[in-house]
Amino acid sequence: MQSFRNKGDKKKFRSESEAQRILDDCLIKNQPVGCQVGVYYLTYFPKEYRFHFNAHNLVVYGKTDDRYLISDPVMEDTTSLTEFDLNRVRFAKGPLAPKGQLYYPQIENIVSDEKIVYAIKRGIKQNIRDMLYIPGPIAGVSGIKYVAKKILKWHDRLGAKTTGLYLAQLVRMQEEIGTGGGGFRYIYAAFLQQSHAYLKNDSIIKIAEQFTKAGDMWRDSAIQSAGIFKGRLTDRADFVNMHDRLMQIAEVEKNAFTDLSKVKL
Amino acid sequence: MNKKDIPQDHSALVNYIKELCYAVGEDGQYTTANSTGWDVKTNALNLAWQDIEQRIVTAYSQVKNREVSPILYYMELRLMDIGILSAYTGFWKWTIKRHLKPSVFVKLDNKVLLKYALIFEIDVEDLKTEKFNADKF
Repeated sequence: MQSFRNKGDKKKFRSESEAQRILDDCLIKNQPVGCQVGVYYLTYFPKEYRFHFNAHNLVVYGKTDDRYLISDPVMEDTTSLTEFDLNRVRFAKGPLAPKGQLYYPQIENIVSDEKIVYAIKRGIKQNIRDMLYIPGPIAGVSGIKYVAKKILKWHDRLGAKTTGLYLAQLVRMQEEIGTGGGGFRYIYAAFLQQSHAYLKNDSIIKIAEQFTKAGDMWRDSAIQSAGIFKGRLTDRADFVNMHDRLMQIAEVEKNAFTDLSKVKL
Repeated sequence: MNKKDIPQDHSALVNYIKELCYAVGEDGQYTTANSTGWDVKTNALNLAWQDIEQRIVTAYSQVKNREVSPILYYMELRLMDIGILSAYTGFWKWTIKRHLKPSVFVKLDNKVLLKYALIFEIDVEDLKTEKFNADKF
């Protein structure tokens, strides 16, 4: 398979001024740039959503006198930030600190169907590896089982209230804006459905349905979690129910990715 | 999820943006639609805020009782933990833990206080224990 590795660039910085200079250089060449940012100081975000969360990404597509023009996937319209505000969010601190990270594809890179097919195949293979074969217990399908078991341990050791709080965090992460709902499972199913047009392999459609099912199960588990953290469900059996749901989800996703790995790409 | 089942509940986002959801249309094809919010999610977010408010209130009374320095209160107010505060100030975590002790805090240099005040976006004067008046915020 011919390689179409992205020849663009991806950089982190130590110095804010250097990070801004490289960004400005790109914008002068009309090159839109992806930036990793923290949301706590993101001025156009609703206050309720401003936590110290650093894995948010936006596109800077231009600059007026002193404002950067921003396309943020969360917002319905384009927006803008002052130099100070953009530098501040690019250099937010804490876990996964962005360190001014920016990235962009190669300039004048024409996206052919061949390249899309290559990217789809590479993406799917990486997803299969990350979900089924990633080492250690905390990630991929085994990560889901890990959390399932943790729920019971939390309940027994920390009590129902704290466990409820943890489950609420899980719901927030899983259904957050930008996930498309169901912990990215719907978006992934949509991706598989769309890739059918390029891969021309009918089994992909069936597998997409399995991911839709997984997404629905995640949503249902969120409702169960809500019952717990609202204090409506308090029995240990309710936590066991939550554990069982996650174990079932892990099973459904394990099968879906196993089926996906059998598709001849 | 079917497109017609996308929840349209009231949420904090109502006046800002709608969120994009992926769902299956009647033809079985994926499509996107906007949602105003989902109660399950809103409740989870509210709970997170209740927890934060509780932490702020606890920190407030601890500062009032001179059990800890005002740094703890402002740290909670700005949704930080010691790790994040350490990253922003450049102080080691154990240094910050020391600064949380009222006895150490009162002896701190103005330069150190200024650094904290800058990160907390407050005046240095507000940071000082004797001036501590959280009702201002």
